[in-house]
Amino acid sequence: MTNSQLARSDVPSLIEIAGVTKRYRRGIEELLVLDNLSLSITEGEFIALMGPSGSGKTTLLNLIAGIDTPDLGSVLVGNADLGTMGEGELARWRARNIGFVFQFYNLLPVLSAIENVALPLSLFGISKKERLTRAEFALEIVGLKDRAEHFPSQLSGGQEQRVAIARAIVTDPKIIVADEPTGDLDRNSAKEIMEILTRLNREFKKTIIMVTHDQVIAEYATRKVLLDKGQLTVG
Amino acid sequence: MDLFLIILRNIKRHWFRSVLTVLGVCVAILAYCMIHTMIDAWFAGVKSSAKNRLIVRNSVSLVFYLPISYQDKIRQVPGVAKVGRGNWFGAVYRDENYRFAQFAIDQEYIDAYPEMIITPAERQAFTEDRKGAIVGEELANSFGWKVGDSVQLKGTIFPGNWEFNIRSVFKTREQSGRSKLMLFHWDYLNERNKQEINRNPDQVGYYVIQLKDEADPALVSRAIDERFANSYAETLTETETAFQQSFVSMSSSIIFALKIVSMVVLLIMFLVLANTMLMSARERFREYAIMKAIGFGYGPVSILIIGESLLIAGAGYLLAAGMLQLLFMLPPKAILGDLADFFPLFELNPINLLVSLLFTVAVGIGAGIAPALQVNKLRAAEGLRKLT
Repeated sequence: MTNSQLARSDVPSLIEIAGVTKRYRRGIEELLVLDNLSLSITEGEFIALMGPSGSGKTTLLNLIAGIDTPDLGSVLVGNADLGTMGEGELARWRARNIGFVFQFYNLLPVLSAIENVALPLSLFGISKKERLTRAEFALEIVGLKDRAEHFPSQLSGGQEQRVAIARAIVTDPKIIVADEPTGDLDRNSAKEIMEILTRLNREFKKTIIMVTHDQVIAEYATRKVLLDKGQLTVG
Repeated sequence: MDLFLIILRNIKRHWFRSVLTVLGVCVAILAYCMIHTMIDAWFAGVKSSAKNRLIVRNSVSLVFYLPISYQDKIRQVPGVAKVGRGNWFGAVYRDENYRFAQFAIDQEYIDAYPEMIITPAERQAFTEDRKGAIVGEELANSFGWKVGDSVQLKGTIFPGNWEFNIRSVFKTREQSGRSKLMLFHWDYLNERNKQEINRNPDQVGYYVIQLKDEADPALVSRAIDERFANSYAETLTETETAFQQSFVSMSSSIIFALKIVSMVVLLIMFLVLANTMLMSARERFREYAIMKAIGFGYGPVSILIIGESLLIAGAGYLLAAGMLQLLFMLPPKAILGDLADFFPLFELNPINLLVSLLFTVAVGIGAGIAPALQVNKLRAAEGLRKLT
């Protein structure tokens, strides 16, 4: 089965990755991270990107999220061809279309939970009152409204990740990219996070692309995509 | 946008480091302003000099005298309104620690300095008393002298004890070094000098000329010097400003060194602030990378870094400006000690505060630019890779 055969063709795709190659230079050594990779993702899918370390999962996630650009090939998300956009344009596009969830939460330690969640909204010229209302609603979705005024240092790992998810959804993006969102959590916290992501996918129709090493976590996804040495393989 | 909130909280994060940096900036601004206040004080004589006054002195050096007969000849030069004569006296009060400037002068000398405010009654009293003296208000205040007091000075150039009666404590129309002067009768000095000492009697240290309104200082100066050319005591005539400037130029190396030191102080301020900002940016690299990933562009991230740098520098400046305002409410003697006698005009110049504010802004922006560029040149993906 070829890479292109792995793409679903029955529904119009939201994300269309075609013949993408990505190399990184480490000293004098050049690493081929993604090798002529093609993949289609339709709206509303919950994808689990899996594979061994160095297989190119995070690089593929970064390309979809518009924080990296391919050396060859194209990444189309909606109507946007990310490879042709400049850094500033990509930043604005990410703010509107992508919600990020990282393994280590990466909240700003100087901001409270609600301020962290409201932070991306400040890019849209929304009034402070409106920003806080929306941030409060996002916190309510992840079940942390009562911790709104807490600072990250006052929250558990699972709570921090829930705040990070609230921050990812506060701008109502179509796509959420999550890089090992449960990698730093205990089993119970991981289960809570995955239940929230599942709810976002099912109830709020968010397209989620998640990198994980964990088979149990991957079971929450609607489709598993396996990578090895920069190419898609059959799981 | 709550960038200002983030900047404030970032400053509070390492409050001790922030406080030390603010103090570093504060000390640098204090040093810069104090050094430039000293330089200004050095030039105070030049600033308070008048352009319509000329000084005539011996062309060889100020230590050589001019004949008294020159006074009438100078008066005949077109453009000259008044000619006064003056001799440096150089006595001490009580002992060597109490030095101040005294000059033996004639009546026309006082006429040439209308900025000295002397009442007609005091002027009359001074004129009628051979041992009469008039003293500037600051000098009188420093020794507690008042009109009617008798003071005794100990001569150094003209040895002996010299008695004077204070006949006027004069103010000046604007703050100047003349407020620390003592003036007394040239005739008193000359007569006693002739009788007891015989050191260059009937000789004058310098002449002060007040010009007529329409007179050209350059033409009058040339006319005077040509008049005494090829005589045994040739003259050098220059404006009072140029005369004062020549004193200052003797100290030009010191002033140049002070200016260099003030620049070095600002450079140190820049390095201290730049070091703090580089450390802060390195520590927060993860946060900046995340902000870039979620859609914050170069602008907001740069504002966070440069804004923090500016705020720290600004706090240091405000602290220094406040301290300087308080400091300069004290009398110069409290700040400079005995040096205050050498700097009659020692006051905080608003220009120095303004210049140091401009330097503060420049240093604040400059110190933030390097870390901002460092953070911004890294693309979001590279930043995130560094995090993992």
